[in-house]
Amino acid sequence: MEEYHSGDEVGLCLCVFIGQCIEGIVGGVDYSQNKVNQWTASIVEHTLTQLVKQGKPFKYIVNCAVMQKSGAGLHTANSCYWDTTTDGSCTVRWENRTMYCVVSVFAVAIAL
Amino acid sequence: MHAVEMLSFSQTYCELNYFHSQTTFVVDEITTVIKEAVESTIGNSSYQHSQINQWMSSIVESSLSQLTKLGKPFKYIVTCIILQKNGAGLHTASSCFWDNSTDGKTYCKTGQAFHISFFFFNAKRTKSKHNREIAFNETDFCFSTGSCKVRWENKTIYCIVSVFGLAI
Repeated sequence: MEEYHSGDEVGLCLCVFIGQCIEGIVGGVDYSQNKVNQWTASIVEHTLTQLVKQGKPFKYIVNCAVMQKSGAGLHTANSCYWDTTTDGSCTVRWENRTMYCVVSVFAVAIAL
Repeated sequence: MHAVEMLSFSQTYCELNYFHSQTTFVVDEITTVIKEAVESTIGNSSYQHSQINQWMSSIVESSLSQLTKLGKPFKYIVTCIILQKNGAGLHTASSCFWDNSTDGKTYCKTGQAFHISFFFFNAKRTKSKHNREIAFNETDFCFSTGSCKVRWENKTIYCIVSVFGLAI
């Protein structure tokens, strides 16, 4: 599992949740077209719920992509226009034998 | 209402409309920006591994710079996914915790291997609202939610563009 965060405290906190959520939902299962919609929905909802429970003054966006392993190339990139002192992101790339899973979380501070 | 009052009312109404369009997430406008960025970068190119990084950087950077040029009080996030067509299934989902009255999203899908998501944030208020969208599988290209779609397809790659917006 590969993690990348935006280099600050916000991103570090995000990484912890994402890996746990992915493992809990698709850890150890093979890619199944019938179930994949359910998996992606579960991952984003579960991750978002855990983040919101923290009660921090952030808005969140959780993005998840699941791709079957078949030799195709998959590339992802993020670019953000925000306040680098208060906002952060974390992207986790996870894989097992039959699929790749890329989850990105973006957290933007709310001005109180 | 008298004629003078009508004129004053219509002027105020126009000003409010202008203000509203300058401070809210306008789907058509964002869609146009994204389409232009993707078309100018990829055109009708075929998937080439050596070009991918350059294409992705170019698309997200040009899209972001065009969006910031709109001059609206938004924060932006751009994500890009490229998928080579060879029969693999790709599914995406997103969930957002934001303010429904000021923040928004749109999706643009083209037939080339890019999925680009733009997120714009309102940093002032928040509501607990899950705006979940389930994206496509390789044959259907269906979005369950989303306000905008642009679809292109060629022989070797899929392209999907998504836009999310949150106002500052």
